[in-house]
Amino acid sequence: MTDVTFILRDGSRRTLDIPEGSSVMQAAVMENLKGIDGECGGCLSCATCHVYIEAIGAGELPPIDEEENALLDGVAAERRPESRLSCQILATPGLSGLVLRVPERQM
Amino acid sequence: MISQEQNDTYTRVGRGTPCGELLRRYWQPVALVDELDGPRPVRPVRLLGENFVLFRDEQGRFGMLDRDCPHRGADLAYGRLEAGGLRCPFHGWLFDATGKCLETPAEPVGSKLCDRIRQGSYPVAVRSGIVFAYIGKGTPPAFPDLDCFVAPETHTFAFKGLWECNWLQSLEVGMDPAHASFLHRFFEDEDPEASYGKQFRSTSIDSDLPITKVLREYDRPQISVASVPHGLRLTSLRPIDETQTHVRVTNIVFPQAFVIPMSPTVTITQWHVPVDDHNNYWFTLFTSFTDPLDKKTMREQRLATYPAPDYKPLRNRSNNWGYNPAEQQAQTYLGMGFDINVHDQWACESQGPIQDRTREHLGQSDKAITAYRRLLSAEIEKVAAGETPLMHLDAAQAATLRGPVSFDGVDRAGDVERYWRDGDARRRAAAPWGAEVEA
Ligand code: FES
Ligand code: FES
Ligand SMILES: [Fe+2]
Repeated sequence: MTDVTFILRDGSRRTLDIPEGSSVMQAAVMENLKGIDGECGGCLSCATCHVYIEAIGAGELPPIDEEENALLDGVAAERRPESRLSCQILATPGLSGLVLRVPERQM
Repeated sequence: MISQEQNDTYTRVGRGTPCGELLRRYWQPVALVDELDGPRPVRPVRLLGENFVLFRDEQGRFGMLDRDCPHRGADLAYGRLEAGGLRCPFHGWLFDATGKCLETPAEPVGSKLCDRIRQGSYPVAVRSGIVFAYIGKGTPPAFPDLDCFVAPETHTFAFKGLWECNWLQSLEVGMDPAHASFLHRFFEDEDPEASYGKQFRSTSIDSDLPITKVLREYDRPQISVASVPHGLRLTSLRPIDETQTHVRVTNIVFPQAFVIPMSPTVTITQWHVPVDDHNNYWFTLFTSFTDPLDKKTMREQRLATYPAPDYKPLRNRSNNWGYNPAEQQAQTYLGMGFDINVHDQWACESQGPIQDRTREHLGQSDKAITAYRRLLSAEIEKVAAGETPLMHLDAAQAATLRGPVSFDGVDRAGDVERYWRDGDARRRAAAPWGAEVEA
């Protein structure tokens, strides 16, 4: 299990314990965490699972591939260097301690 | 008598439950091949509380997919069979037999959505007229070389029917040799010659006693239970007089099938397959050791009371299973007609959707039931501990299993085991399809 903390739009923090292999987007949507949408269910076609990486725990994030990069150009909020699509981040024990900020909008 | 907790462990079979995870480690019968022979070979399948759609594509390949469309959840059992797969009628998404998404026609040109969609799909195998599917983790086991799987198509016939109760109480009827003397008692014997394709209507081997008479007049069987590689072997002895003993050998093929004799030449292998916690389908495979089976007659006999497409019996709880007190007085022990299957159906459906085993009282004659439950507990624990359960076979193990012996005859030599083993070996030697003897 992997602890991932979300900083929500109102500044409050919420930590989810995510089962290994599940994506951060999936876990957030299943827990009804406001601010992450994931309309396409993780198919890399909606860009509504945008997050900003605030802090990385021990491990490393998977690199951004071409398709994620292309889709990040279309996110609704500002794209920044720390932007990622959370459906592409799968929970691994090494990622525990990851902190993400929810953008002001997804569409 | 067992605790509520233990009863739940045995009877609840949804995904993630201990028994559900055990049963998911085996091939499960999901349909008759007959059901996918018509003009539109698409059938909904509900298995272990989960919903699937089974279909045969234009090339004849079988596929079993999750039933809800991955787009917005419409029911793929109403799909269009075309263009190399099954197409959802809601927005036209198309899936092949492996669950690969082939088209998402409403998406803009160049959309990659389709490449990333994969509908859940499950391995399917056809044996002796039954479609089996594997919905568990890891690799499916190999099919053992049991008679019902190695006999040619001409010598096997498969049918199924719905019983509205939990799978375990249905299977437990099949390991209860004593009930046949009561539940299936007819006050007069029918002419065994007029009994094609029916159970308990012929005579036992080496005797002219109709089985109905043996069951009726000798009602305290001595039951013994042995652990064997495929599960359990039950031997029921009914002493007829000083020199003759009626012997009946039946089996449990773990986890969910029993193998019993139907007549001197035909055996029955019957699975009880959970639809969900409150319903199960029996799938029966008849295997002949002599002549080819008259499948047409056998199918028509059964479709008359278990009509397609759902194979739900005409006699059921809603009409009191056709109970007739006058018949019960004069002709049969139960009063629900002469179809043995209806008797067994009443017995287990009348126990309720899930039998409350906190209120039962088992006797000596129920010893196979207790032996089976011990085995079931042990195998559930193995799976929970990540071990391989009994009968989850690899190819080498599967090739060593034979038979199993199922036998109904009258011994006069005073050595019953020798008698049924020899009798079974003789029958196998004479079988036109080279049935091999169980070790
Ligand atoms: S959920 Fe659609 S792109 Fe991540
Ligand atoms: S719900 Fe099946 S294609 Fe839209
Ligand atoms: Fe019976």
